[in-house]
Amino acid sequence: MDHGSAARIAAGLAIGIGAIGPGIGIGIAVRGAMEAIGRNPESRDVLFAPFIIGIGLAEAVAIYGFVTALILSFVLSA
Amino acid sequence: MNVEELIAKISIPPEVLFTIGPLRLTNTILTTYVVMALLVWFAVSVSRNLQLVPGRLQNLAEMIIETLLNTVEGSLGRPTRTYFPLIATLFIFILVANWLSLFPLFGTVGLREVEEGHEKLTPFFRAPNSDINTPWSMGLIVFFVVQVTAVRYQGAKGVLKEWAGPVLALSPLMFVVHLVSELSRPLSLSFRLFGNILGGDVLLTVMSFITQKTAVAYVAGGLIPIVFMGLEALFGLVQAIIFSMLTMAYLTLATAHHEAEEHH
Repeated sequence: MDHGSAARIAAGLAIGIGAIGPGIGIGIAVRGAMEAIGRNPESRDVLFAPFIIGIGLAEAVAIYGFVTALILSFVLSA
Repeated sequence: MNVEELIAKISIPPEVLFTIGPLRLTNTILTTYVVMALLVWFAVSVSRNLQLVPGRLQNLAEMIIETLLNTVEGSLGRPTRTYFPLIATLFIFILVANWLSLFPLFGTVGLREVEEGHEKLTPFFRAPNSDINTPWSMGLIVFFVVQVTAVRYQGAKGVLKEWAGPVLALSPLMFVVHLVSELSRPLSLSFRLFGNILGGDVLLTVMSFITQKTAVAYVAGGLIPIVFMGLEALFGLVQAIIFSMLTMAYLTLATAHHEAEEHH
């Protein structure tokens, strides 16, 4: 296998595997927020900012995988 | 357009429009200046003629600032007035930059060059945050402001004490742990914004490409990218909120210890 193909396969693996964890994490966060809003609908406004920040933190891990994939497929595979 | 042309269209570094001596003017820099000009124009035209009973434009500006101020004050407390300009500027700049780059002129109008038989388009405008330099410089600003704030509120001794941890024997280890966690903050802040905006650009390009090529194009070719544009508008707002809220959270952490000590 040449260098370019290896880099492209690695790019696919980087974002594919890297998205599993954040996906699970965001799912758990949304479930928690939905349960809290279901129990106490007034908590909606209070929950919003921490919820967005938490999702952003979880999503960042997927973004690192994405950046790695972009670098692998556009910079290293050339 | 075939796949090779699609791949050629996606570029991670910003395209250079022209060079003045050692300075390279890239399309992201140009867009940054357009965003700055828009914001300055808005600020000047609102504040030049302030009235007790606000007009339409002043009402809008007051609404934005009041919402932001209430959010920041709820978390940061007393030092809000010192740090509010930074947090609000970051939020407004990132939001306007992200939303402006969804407008039609972006990525489509530019210089056309023929290079090795291929036509190459260098767009005039490109989302500022899809260039790692923009988020990284904002991340560095936040990093230094947070460090200076920590020293100002806790004193150099207090910061060293916090970094060393409660057990003296473990302090070298704790020092390294704190150093890594502090340095990872600007890195994660900037890469999150950069990755999201660049990812959005790539997603839109790929989606327009896919819908051009398939039978779907005849039915709903223009509609599918619009759905993703709506998503990008949402992500642009969410990223602006996350960047400024995390800055606020870091500043809250840096100022909090001092106030806790005061009450003892």
